[in-house]
Amino acid sequence: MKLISNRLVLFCSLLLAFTASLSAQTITRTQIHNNARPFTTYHFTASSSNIQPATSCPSAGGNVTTPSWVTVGSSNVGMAYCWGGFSSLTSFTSGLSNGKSAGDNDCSTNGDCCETCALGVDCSGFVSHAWGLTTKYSTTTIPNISTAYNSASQVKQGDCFNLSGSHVRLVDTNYVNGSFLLMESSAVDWKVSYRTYSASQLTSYTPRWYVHVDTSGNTPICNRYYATLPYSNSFEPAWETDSCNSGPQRSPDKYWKGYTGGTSPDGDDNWHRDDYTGGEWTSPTSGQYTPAASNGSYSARFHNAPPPAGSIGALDLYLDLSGAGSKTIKFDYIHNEASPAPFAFNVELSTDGGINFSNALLTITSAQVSTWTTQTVNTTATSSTCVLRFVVSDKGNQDVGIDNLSVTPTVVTGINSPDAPDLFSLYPNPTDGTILNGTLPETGCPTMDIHIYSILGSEVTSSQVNISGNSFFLHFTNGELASGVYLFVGTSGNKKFIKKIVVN
Amino acid sequence: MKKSSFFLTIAFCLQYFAHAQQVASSALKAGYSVTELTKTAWNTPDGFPYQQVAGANLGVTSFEIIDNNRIAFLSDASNEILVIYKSTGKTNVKFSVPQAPRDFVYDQGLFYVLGDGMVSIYDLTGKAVSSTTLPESLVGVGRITRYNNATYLLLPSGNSVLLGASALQGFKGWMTGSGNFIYTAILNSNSYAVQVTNADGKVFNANFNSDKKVAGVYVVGSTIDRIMLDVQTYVTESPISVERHLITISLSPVGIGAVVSDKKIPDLYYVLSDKELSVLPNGAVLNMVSAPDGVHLFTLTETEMTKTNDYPSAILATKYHFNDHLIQLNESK
Repeated sequence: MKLISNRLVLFCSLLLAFTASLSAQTITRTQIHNNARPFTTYHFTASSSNIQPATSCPSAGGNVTTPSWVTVGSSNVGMAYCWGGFSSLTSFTSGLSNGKSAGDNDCSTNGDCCETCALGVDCSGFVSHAWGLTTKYSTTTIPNISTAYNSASQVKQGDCFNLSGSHVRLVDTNYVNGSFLLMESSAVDWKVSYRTYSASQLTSYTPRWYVHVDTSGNTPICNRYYATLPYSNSFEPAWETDSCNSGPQRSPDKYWKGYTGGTSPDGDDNWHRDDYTGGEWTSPTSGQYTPAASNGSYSARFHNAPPPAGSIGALDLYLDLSGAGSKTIKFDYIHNEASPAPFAFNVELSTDGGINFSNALLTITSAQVSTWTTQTVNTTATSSTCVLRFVVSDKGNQDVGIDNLSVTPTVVTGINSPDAPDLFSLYPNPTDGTILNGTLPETGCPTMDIHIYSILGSEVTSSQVNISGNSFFLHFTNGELASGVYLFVGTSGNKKFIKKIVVN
Repeated sequence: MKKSSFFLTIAFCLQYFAHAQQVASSALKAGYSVTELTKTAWNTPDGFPYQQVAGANLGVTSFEIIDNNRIAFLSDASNEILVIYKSTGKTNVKFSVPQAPRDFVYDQGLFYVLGDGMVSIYDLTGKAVSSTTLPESLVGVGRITRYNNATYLLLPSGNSVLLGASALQGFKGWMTGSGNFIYTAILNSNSYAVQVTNADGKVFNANFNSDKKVAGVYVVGSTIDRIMLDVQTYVTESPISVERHLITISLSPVGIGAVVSDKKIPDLYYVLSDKELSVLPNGAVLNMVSAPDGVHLFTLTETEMTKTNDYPSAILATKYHFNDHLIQLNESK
């Protein structure tokens, strides 16, 4: 009897999967992301009737306990966890008004209380919604509608890590260092949230892709990666090959793409790192600006000379700006040429993945910018598929450089004021134990209290020194510092400076 | 609860002498000597809470050294910070933190606790000092650190952000205790890249090879002359199974040197943890191993001696991963 029952369940599962596969629509990875992310940012208002401590749910034969993070009021964020749950955002909202529990963290009693008495999603209910399914799949049936990758390194946005019978997680971002940004509905925090996992933390999981994901879309989007904020780049590492047009050294990193257009573009219209000497640029040294960078050793350079007018060269940065609030885009700019005409440097923003650039953030035409000058623009865009374009149209005779780029969100609230950049140094280090010089940023205080500790934590010596011109000098005359490693702790004003010193 | 300040002192002394020797000859191959600092059982009066929940097995997710006598653990099973005395095993203090904490750091008398979208600050008695809500764009952040009186979030992308400015300030690489930002990337199946931006702003790059396919390269920390990485290599790629190695690379004021040590980490994961490895200012590496019998904290001190203490044989012999022991929910519905 049990065998027949098991076969019946298996048959029904296969039939369900087959039916779904016939009716399912193709879905893009962006659509999967757009389906899933609102489950992490969902704000809802709960009343006392939505918070239930171990309340019996007779029709389901179990108990309901609302997760403790849900409170009366409007401060609740995230779709609540509910074992067996398959609530949509809409059904969750309407169910709250009917007095159902906002989630259920009682997995110990028999009976499925979702959706009878409680609302929410479990892990596979969440992934089913993300994949646009109208029927809830479980971790044991997800393999029926997905294909396993050969390696976890292949996963992309919208794929999943599945552990049959236990848990499933949705992929947001596969970083190239082995970290995976995932979304999941779990009992770790009893809701849908983002978490980061390493390979070892994903032991026994199988990486899978949904069989109806739109793989044809991979070609036109050229494996685009959208950088999350904050993002910064000083263009120091060697540039990469652009996966769209196989152009060598055209992308500062995987989030960038080069683009040329206009009436008669040629290789000179491609942006490169400033020290580029490849075949695309004619006379690479002509038109070069100095210094080569405002931060570090390199910058991004548009080779303005020779100047075939009418063409354009763009350097595009793909950004996920989906977080709420304004974002600040800051970079350093140089174009040391008086009255070039025609000439235009524009910073433009697309919110639809680079189809339309209707939002001009900054335009510089004939102004001579002879030294690196910081440019700052803001945007309130909230699209997850933004493209920030730096584009030079028409030409001059001197090259254009950008460097020290940062794109950052606005902080909601702040904590401790940051210290000044770490300009603190001690030398010589290693020292012979008799002298120690130091330089430090402005502290507003003419003295520094110094304590030196042994590696075991005991204080070896202390003193107060005068600071002169942002430097100070220590002279040890009593052999206090024998050979070994010490910790230098100095306090000046409200700033503390700590460094390890080695005495030979 | 078992611990010994004597062993800690010995460990520090061993590390001290080893370190001094390496300053003179850092190119030599080194090893690690392993010493157990503490062991704390699960679900005992003086133990740590353990809980199986849907999707994960929870216990302690992070740890911090308070001083020579005390260690703090962050429990995501009970949402608490538990400070224990190493000498007696007794709880010094414990107090609640917001639900589902991910990581914490202790600095100058304060705990900085990273939760979902929030950093909360407590003093040693558990008194709440302040809290900061993080922008919605910062998602999935699992690590936090402090350096030079500033708080850094360590992002899954491998970069850091400095909290406290009017706008978040980003840096390439993870901030480490010596002030170096360290960035890692997998280059191809059998190689990875390391970039160090030191406190003076100098940038160093180096690539390293692996005899096995690289699954991930994670920053553990750095000192003035060492970079410590958690390098994971595939045993099987689908389903995932990996080996973990603590890789130590020499570092100097002029650049990144060679790998000086390669230490395999036990295949033992009783609970999900976000921080299992940490570097002390003296260069010793702490390794929290969660086992069925409790949480073990080991100190790994670099040495050039050919014969070194290893992890206890019982730890090395036990293969356990919490993912293989999750509660099985009835999914017929």
